[in-house]
Amino acid sequence: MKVVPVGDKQLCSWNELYAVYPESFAEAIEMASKNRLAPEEKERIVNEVLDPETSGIDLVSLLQQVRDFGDPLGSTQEAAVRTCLRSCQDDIRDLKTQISDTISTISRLGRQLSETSCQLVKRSRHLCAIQILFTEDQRLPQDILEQIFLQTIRPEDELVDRRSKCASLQLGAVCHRWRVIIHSMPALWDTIHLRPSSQSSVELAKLWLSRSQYPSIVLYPWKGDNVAKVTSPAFAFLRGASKRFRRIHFTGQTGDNISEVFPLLVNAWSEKLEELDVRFATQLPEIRVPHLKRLFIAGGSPLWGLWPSSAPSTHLKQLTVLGITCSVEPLLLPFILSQLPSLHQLYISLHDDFPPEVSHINHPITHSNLRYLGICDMAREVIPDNLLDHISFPILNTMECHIDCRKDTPPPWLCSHPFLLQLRRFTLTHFAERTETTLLTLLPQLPRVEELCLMVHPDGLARILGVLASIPTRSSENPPLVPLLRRLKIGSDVAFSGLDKFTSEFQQLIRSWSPPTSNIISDLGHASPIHILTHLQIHYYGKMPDDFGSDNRNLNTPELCERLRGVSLGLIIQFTGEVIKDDYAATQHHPKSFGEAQRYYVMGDDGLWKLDPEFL
Amino acid sequence: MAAPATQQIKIRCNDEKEFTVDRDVLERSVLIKNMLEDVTEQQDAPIPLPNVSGPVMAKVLEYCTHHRGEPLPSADTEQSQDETRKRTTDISEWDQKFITVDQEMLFEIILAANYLDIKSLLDVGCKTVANMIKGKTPEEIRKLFNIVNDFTPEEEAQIKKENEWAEDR
Repeated sequence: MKVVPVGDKQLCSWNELYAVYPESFAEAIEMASKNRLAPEEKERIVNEVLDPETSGIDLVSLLQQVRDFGDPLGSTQEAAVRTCLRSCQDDIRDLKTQISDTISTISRLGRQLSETSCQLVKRSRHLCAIQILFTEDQRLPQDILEQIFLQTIRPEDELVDRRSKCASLQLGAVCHRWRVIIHSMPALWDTIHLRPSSQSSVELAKLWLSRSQYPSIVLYPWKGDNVAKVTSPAFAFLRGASKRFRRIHFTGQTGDNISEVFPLLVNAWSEKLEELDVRFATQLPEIRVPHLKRLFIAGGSPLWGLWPSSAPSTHLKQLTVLGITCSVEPLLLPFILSQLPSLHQLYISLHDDFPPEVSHINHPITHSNLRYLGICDMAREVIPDNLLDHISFPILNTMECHIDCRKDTPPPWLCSHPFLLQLRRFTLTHFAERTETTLLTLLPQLPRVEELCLMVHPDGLARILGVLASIPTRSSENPPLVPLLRRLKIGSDVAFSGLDKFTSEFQQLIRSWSPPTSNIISDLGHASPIHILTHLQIHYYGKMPDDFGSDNRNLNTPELCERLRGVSLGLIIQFTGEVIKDDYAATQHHPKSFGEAQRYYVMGDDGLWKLDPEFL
Repeated sequence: MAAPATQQIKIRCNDEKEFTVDRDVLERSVLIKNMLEDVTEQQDAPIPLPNVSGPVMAKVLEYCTHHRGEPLPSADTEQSQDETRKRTTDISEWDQKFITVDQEMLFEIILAANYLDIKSLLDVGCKTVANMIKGKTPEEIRKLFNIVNDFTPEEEAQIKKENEWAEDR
């Protein structure tokens, strides 16, 4: 049926306004109303509608008879036509009444529906309010929720885990109460990750700054014309907000990029700046940041060329952490130490051979604050005994050594120097020796070590494990090799290729690891039960396997979970070579000794990815 | 020589359930410790704990008994938000097993730890909830804790915008 308007909207009631026709006639009736129907079409309608079977009388023949012969209708015929007309009129009236009734019913039901819908909305809101009141989390006071949020979004996660970078936004999108609380917690907004070239960088920076106090900012590399980007709205905005930044990380910036950006940003940011990380920069202008405490730079920086002119030494004397990622001239080491008395962490790359002038160091240096010394790319020839004989670190307790990959064994001094005796944490990576010789010399030098990390060549791994496992059971005559060891990280930093190989190597390691584990633990452990070893990590280095799926960031794929099912020891896969963090992943494999897994991490090309515990 | 007998203290929960507990166990709660220190004479009447039910108190006492003798955090360790964040989210194996309870009990334990001022237990509870939240989408979190999405249309629009900005970074 089709409803068409026939009356004047101003004058007619709703049901009079519309006539109802079979839809197939609608167009014809409209044409007829405009007197535009062809004679054949008129005849078709008459023949179709005035069917003798439905009308009870053959009106067409009757009309034809009147036309052809001019005979008036007989009384019977007239009565039949009248009856037919009356019947039609009655039917039409009845139908109009029915339509009217139906429309009234529809109208009534519409009102009823509307009222019911209103009630439904009202009751739903009521239910929502009740649920809000009695939902578990709503019963928690704000200070407890704050504590939970602080534990949920941790600062180190924000710096390395891409998925954590927007965790504050995610938590703020749960419900109104959470949003209000999260917006009132500056600590949750203290790291801004920005790619200055992106369209939304200004909005995002504004958002973070409006909710934080003295945030850190991590700037990602941008493509294209750097000079143009320096004048972009993002930089204009950041310069305006510069005095509030506490930490700045330039990631992946080259010297050219930095030289454009640095004077515009860093010196303006000097007021609150405590940490500056420009470790990828090969050139760096002078730094005049009064409160700078942590600095990570590349070794080629002219900063050191300026030294010891008064300005830099004045401005850097307060440094507590210094990392120099490119090669540093060996002679600079005693120089840096003498100039930076507050330093307690130093990470340097010492790749060059040691020059003969080292013997010219006449005055012994005692650095009484240094607790951590990290040396990477350490060549065998570097740091001969006579240098270390001139420098002493009375409270040094942590040492990380990354051996030059080209060498099989660490330099001899490393296995015998007296300061090993005072270390509590010791890391030896890129250790390519395939025999246990060095290790057997080194381990007894670490009587106070509680955390030990050994990254060895895969070919030597079995032998090293053998050394660790075959050490005789501890007894008073036979003391443990590393008596205080609580955290052991062992693995290989030599690349694997392909997931299949990776998986099989790892599973093989797990299988081979399983029997000697308890021996290692009881032999190295200080106390009798195996619980003494609280952290165990298997660590692999390798390329990102090709078949991790098209989206490399999604490591929790069912396929991968299926492939690695049954692998149950702690695992860190390190793909790009940077040491990740100290967390551990323990296992179902030894539930009594290690407890359940806490966190799993995978280092991808673009940062650290946390795995779902179900991953393993 | 026999070891000196440990003083036994009675407590009464809000459902009239009473417990008699060694004083050093109860003193894991700073609230009860302070109450006991304020009372000079020994009293037989149980200490009323109107905000804790019997079943929850039983769990709390299980925790306090396991950790009895461990050093309490000093009173002046009011931690800033930054310091709280620096703490590890690791939970010891025993604590993990202890806190593996249904969600209602978990929240009850947190509330009880807060009321009784047992910082280490509160910490374990908060870390557990934090670990439950981590890595989940807002919708998943709502589902997990039965939280109603009660944002106004304006807030929804702002959230959508923020997410778009974050995606664009």
